[in-house]
Amino acid sequence: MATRSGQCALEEPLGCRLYQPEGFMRLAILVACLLLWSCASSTSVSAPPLEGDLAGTWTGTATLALAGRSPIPYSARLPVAVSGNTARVASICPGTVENASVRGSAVRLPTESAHILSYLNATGSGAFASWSGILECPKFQVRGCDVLTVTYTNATVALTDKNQVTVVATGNAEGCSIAYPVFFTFVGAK
Amino acid sequence: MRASALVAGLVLSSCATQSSSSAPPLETEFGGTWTGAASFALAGKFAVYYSVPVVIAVSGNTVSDENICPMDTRYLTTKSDRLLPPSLKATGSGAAAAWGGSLECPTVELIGCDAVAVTYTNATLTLSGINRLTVVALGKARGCNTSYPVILTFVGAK
Repeated sequence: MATRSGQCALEEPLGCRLYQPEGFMRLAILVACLLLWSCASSTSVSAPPLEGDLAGTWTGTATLALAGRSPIPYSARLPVAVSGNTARVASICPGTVENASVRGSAVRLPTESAHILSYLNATGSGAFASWSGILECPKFQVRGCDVLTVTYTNATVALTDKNQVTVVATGNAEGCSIAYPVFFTFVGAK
Repeated sequence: MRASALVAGLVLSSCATQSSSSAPPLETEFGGTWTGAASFALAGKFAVYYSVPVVIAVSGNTVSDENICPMDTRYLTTKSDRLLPPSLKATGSGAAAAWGGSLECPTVELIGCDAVAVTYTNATLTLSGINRLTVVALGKARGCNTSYPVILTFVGAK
């Protein structure tokens, strides 16, 4: 078990108390605006950057779960680049990885192309970054459906041990006239 | 029109049931007590680590994990020992199972907030290598007027 100390204090809501003296309404409004701007901007500026340990190429086990279907496990390598509060996670789309089963059996994810250009930029602080948006992955095949498109809408990247990263992403897959909720997980080490 | 609707219905039915009806069962290796390290990561916070045995029962295409909620550890004081722990039933085939839904865990106490409620919405359980189980659960933690994404990661062996 890792020994990193747990620090789970929940942050108190940010509050700005403004005092407005009578007779100086305009000045007070100006001061209030400046204070609000200062408070609003200080939260993003003061957030510590993401840990540099997030950066690198992580090798591990990915599982692509489509609701109503059997999840697909496969070995994966996820390159992560870190700059300040942003982590760029590549190869999150199915097909960007080696088509090898984690149990050494048959290929699970036949794909027609390399999808290395599919990446997302998660923002955060310390050991945790999250992303929301739309990332449409290239089409790939699964058993029983030749053309499936995965679109991620949310993702989270976290250092979950000294040498362990966990990536989760949710979204939808569409193909063969059906839409599935998708849940992608990856746990890897460097 | 009726014929095309029928064909469309058959295609839909085929796609929807293809995996569940014909999929081979989950590997029996899922079953047992897995020991390893769990990481409970909240957005904006340091991850909390603890050792935990994960007890998995497997039957056909279903696995149940009765230990996915944060439990009594050095860093996580919990009331779960006074309540029946919720269990998670994931379905799948071969080496992986997944679950989606809503699983509310008993309230846990964290430093600075004595009532944090964790609700999981998704999870995967995956066998890899010779003797390795990976469990990942995604959800939200709510408490003290705040809400955080939370990830539980467990990697263990028998």
